[in-house]
Amino acid sequence: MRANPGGEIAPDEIIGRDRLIERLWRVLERQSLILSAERRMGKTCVIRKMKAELPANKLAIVRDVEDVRSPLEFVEVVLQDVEEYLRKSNQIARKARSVLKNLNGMELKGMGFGIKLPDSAASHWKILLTQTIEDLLDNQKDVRTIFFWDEVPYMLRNMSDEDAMEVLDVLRRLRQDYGTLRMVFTGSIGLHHAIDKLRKVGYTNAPTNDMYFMDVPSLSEEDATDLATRLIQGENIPTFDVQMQAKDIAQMVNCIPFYIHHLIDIFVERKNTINENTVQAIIDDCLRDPDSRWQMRHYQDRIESYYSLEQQRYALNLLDVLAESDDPLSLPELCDRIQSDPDTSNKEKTRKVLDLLAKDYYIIKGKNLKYEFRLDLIKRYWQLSRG
Amino acid sequence: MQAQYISHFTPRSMSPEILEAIFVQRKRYDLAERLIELIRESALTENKHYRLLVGNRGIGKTHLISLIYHRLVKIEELQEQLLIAWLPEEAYRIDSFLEFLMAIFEALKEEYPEEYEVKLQEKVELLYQLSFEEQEYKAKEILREFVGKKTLLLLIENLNMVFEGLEIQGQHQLRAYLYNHKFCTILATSQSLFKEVKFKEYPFYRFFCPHHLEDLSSDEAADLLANIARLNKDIKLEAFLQSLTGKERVKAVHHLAGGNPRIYIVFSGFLSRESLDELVPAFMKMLDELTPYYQERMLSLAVRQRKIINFLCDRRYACLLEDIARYCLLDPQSAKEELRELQNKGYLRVEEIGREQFYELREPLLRFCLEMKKQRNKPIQLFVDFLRLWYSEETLEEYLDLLPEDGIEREYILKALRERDTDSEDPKIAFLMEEYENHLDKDEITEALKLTEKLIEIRGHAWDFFSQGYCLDELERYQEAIAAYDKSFELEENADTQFSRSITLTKLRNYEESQLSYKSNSQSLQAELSRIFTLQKIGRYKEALQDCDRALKLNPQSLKIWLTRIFILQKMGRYEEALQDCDRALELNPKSLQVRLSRIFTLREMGRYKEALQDCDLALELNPQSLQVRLSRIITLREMGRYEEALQDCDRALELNPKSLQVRLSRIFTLQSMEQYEQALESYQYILDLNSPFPRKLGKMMFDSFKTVQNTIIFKRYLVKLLNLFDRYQVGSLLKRGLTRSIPMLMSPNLNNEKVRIWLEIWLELVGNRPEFELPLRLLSKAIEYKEKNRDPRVLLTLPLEERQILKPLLETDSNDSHSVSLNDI
Repeated sequence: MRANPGGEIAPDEIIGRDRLIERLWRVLERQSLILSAERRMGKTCVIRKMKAELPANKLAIVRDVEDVRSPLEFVEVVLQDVEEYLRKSNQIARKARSVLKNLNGMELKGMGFGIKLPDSAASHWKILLTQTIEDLLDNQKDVRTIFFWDEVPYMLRNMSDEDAMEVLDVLRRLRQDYGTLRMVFTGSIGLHHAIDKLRKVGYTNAPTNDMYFMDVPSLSEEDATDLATRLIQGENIPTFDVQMQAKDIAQMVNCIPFYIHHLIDIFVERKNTINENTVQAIIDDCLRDPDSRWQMRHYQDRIESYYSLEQQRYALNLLDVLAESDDPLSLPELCDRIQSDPDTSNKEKTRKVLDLLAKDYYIIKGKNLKYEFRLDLIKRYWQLSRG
Repeated sequence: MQAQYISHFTPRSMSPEILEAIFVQRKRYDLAERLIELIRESALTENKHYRLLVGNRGIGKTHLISLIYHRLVKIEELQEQLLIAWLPEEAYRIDSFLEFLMAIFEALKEEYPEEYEVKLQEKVELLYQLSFEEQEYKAKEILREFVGKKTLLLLIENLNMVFEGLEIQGQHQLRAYLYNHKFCTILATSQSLFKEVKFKEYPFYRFFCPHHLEDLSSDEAADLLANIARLNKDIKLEAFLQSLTGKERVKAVHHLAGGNPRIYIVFSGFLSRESLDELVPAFMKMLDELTPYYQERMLSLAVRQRKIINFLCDRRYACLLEDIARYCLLDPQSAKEELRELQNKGYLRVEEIGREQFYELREPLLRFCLEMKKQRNKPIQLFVDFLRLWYSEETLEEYLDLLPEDGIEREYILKALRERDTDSEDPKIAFLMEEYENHLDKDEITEALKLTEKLIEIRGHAWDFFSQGYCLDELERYQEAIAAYDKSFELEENADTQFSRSITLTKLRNYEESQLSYKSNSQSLQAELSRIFTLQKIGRYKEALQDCDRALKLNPQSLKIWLTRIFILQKMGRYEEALQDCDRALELNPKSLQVRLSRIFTLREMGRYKEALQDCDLALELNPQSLQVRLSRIITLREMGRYEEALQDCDRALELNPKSLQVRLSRIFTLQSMEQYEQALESYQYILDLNSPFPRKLGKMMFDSFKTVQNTIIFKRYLVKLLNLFDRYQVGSLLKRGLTRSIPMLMSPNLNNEKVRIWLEIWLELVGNRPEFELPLRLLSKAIEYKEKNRDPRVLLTLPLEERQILKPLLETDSNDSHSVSLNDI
């Protein structure tokens, strides 16, 4: 097994997601869900593994929809996926084809790679989508059918507000109408951002209130150690005690598979022996070096680029304080510590910037309502770069 | 001699044989193999790798990609599994996802003309009949169909440009296409990590695993030039490049050009053995050749960015954002954005001091080329000439002169000099030696042994027998190893050989025991000492000391390790501990001259001159003929201000060895301290008549005398006479290096700023109007300003990068460093 940071990982090499996947299947028995996580946490890997290791009586259709720009294009990709599946049992999406024929006199060719619908079908996308889903479900008696649509928020952003609202509503209705149908929405930017944007232009529906919300967490320490062990062995990296060093690596990168893959890849490149010192040194290198492959500088650049000047001052002061603190801090504690700077003495503004930082995955708010860095790795970066 | 076609700017057009022949840098070899392995895995399994080579223009990205391509197409196993589409380097046409797909078709046509004609040509032609949306949709289908169950390797150069053309929408389309169909693996290049791969707002955030291509070191640059010389069958040049002098010439170029391989490929076009040795004309020709290239790069920049580059060129040194904005007539926010962009493109480097950010050009060559256009050739020539001198092998020899005769450091320098002398003119010998090292690296001792036998057959140097002994020892053939060491020692008396022989002997006597201890150590003591030496050389004293302690646990009786430990402690200024170590080492061997000399040095550094003098006398009782002890006594006496006695000791030492340059210099030094300038001048002339290289040390020697001088007017008159003397012997220009070398001494906190300033003023008056002294005087002046302003780094930023790089290490040198150690041993 080789290190593959950022790349496509074969399902049988996706380690440590079995318990999460079991849980996801359990939820999907009840309802559809929204799977959320910071980018590069491994959402795609989870979905891919679910599809590859599908339990009996389940059908999974997986599709990245970030390039979809209109409801009609959405229907196209759904129809294409459904047809592709049905073709395996020499079936076709009969109802959808019939709608098309009645509308436009259009005949779909049998075994092509894709389907391109005419612009004239655009106003009938809802019926086409419904019939397509029905075509699939008709052929799947007693089978739980799940559409995994990745990057749904991007798709919604690509569409006009009106279209986006309609798509969300239609998808909710379909989930209500067809008991065996499930949907999984994932996205690297939160779906709530897309819906919030629609609310600002008058959208009042709650299109996902029937869906369960789940986060993709880091691996457990045991699984992260297992992943690191396999990678060390697969890449033949010299080490004195594989288990111990693998555990160190797992802990030092907060059990995030992406960083584990990266770290091992760096060891391969540098031909280092793995020991506690080299692991810490490489991590510190990656955190310190603005050109390093982890690009941690991004965490500072992002604030400079996306926060207003006033917000920047708050954000930097807050993160500096949290980086210095050994313990999580409450809002009053934070306000108290940053108010020595006259530019950051407003409590409401502090609260807003904390919300922003949380949404951007810098920090988390614990159950005790105290704030801390989401990852020790980011905290360490902050200490090294601004300490 | 037969010149091969080596493209300066399009390595893609070179034959695989040439690409392989000129490929250098061990790390890149490994990276090439690693990437091939990952592509292989992508072709044969569900894993797909996306890798990005990152590095500035000319760093060798295309070379590496070309090499990988040529190696891949030869792999039988991949023929049926992998398709390759190598997109054009300048992907000007790509402005949408559809154009990206069309570029892939073009690349496939190039790569598989027959298959393209049969399977793709008609379909691609038909695309032009469709509407835009249908085209895109259909093109995706055609490509997917064509690739089928294979994996498509996309080789994409300048990925940043491609992504720029794709815009965010095209990037999403590409990302979705890759995700949904999983048939692609990508190897791409870019000059830097650009926003589309490093900000999470973009679909390819952290999608690619980047590999930063490092600059070549100067040795690797010399290897590259040697490879090209070999390819051109220029044996003389190849051999010269493998010699120490050749490497030092390359070091001078490296100082300005950095490690960009393209520069060396251009440079190689003007090289012969002679022109490399001479350096300046070849360097100027290279600049001339590179000028259009840099001009073209300038033209590719936005107007505002060009303006900033021009401004920084004219300024020559690092500037603050506010200054750049003011003089380029830009508002600070726009200036900041342009600077960030230029930084991303690799044009600028930033130095942060507190909250201030200083910007300057990353490549001095760019500035030089632009300066050439403004007819400012002369300063460049002088600078290159200075560098040639600065990096000349004489520095090594000069350094050697100044080191204690029995010092550890001296052994390593001697080794370096020996390596240089080892038949560097004969490429066959060089090849055999290189192969020998390669086999040793791979632990192929038997093969290495064969090569030493060949070397013995061809020339039979001490080194060859030593290496033979080493291999035999490794093979546990101890008797034969000892015989080889004896032969080596017969040819050249050398402490290394003696030491290795004693180790082998111990192994032979206590085979079982020593086998255990050495195997557990896994490396020989010699290798351990080498490592320790390297660590201290790069300033990692703490680690070097830890390693010493570890080595001492295994070999507590080893005087060599004790001496190394003492040496490191001295470097760290931990004289008390060094002294304790000297005493411990003397318990092991009370007669050791080396330890005694180290003790004398330590005592002197602690200001305990009386005890140092007692130690000198003790050592002289045991070694009455030792010149080194006598020299140590002279220095001690001088430090005590007992000049008359020091002078008497000089005369006694000259009786021992009338030709000793060190004693002669020491005598001059003493005479200068006594302000007996006329006699000092006579001694100088005596040495000049011998054509000795001593004037190189002049700057240091004179400054040390100047420190104690009372009457600066008389001293200045003396310097005028001295300068005339050197000019008469045509060695006056060597003073410029001497002056620069005196800088570390000026930095001593014990010297008051006023004295140092007078030193500068004297030199400004004496040589301020001579162009060849312009640079040394500038460095001297900045060093003094730096000292006066309590080491404020901003002072250094008012020098151009290439000059700062010379000055910085000299400023870091404190009173504990080798320079003062050396000087004290004159």
